[in-house]
Amino acid sequence: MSPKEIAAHYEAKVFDSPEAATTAGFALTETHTPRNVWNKASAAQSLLLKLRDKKEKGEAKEIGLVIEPWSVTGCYVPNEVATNS
Amino acid sequence: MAEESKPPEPGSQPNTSSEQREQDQARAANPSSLSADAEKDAQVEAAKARVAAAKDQAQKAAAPAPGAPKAPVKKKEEGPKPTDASGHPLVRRLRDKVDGAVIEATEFLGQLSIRIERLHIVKVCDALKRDEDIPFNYLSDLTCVHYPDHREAPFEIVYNLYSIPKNERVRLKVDVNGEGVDSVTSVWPAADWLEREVYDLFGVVFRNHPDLRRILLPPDWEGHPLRKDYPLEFVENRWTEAHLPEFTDVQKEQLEQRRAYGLEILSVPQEREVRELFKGGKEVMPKDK
Repeated sequence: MSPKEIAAHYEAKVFDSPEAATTAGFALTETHTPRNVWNKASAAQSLLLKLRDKKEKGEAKEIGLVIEPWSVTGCYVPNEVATNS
Repeated sequence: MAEESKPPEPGSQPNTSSEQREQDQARAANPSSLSADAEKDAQVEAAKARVAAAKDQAQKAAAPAPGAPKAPVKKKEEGPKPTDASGHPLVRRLRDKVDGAVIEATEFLGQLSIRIERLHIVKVCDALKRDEDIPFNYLSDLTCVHYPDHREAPFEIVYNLYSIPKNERVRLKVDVNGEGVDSVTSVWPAADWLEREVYDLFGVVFRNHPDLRRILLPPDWEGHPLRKDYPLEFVENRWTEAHLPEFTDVQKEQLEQRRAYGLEILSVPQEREVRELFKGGKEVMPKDK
């Protein structure tokens, strides 16, 4: 599956630049810079599985993925209730 | 060729011109033949017009109307699907021998796969090895698949068994969660290294294994690389920080050059920090300075 398809599978929003994600209220997590399409898909899945766990724990309200030509970055909207408590 | 080059004999006429002349004479004598030709011509013209009209109509029908939704793409014919194999003689024997062990059995392209209850795996393997009709005396392979979306049991251990005397194969599958599964080294000693490999790359624990430790990666390696949550790319971790040599300026420059030519595939700037190579008092060679 491509990174976009993986993002759709985990109901994550897709952005094409980190600026777009931050302006939409998403906080960026780690960035991977894979060197081919297979590694790019693997990096996307790895990031999204971590973000999915974050969402299930209640730390994230919404998750997303910034897909650039040579890098993939995870992002999420922090859950204010969880962070305040 | 010789005949063609001969000049026609005086007084002789070619056959074709004589026939044409006869036809002209007949037409002059009978005017109805003239009208028959005209009718034929008219029919040919009408047929041509009909063909042209049919072509136009077909083209109009094929072209979609502006704004109309696209016709759905025809899916390829689906291939063979796994079928239920609960009536297979081996499955029935297994059900009789180990009660409650078989969850489901499927057959796909002549390959039998049996899903086994996790707690009964050693009993099932022992029963298959000692089976009277088909003794599965060879553990061909033992591997694992990670399904991160299966929350209760994300790992599937796969045992490929082979019967050397009967030339038969069977595949066993066991769903495993974080608790792990019992080792089958007591049944087939060959499972020892295969289970260590699965433990190394997936992190599945095999209980009662005689020597469960990493087999491919260094003992202090962090993570299990064949899990789906482990990125395939090169990632700096503590082990690489501690063990990989550090780079000189010259090596850094060479690396950049190799990158520019697309030759360097291992490192990208964010992945690998460039560090000093000779920490222990050694100096870089004068020509490299």
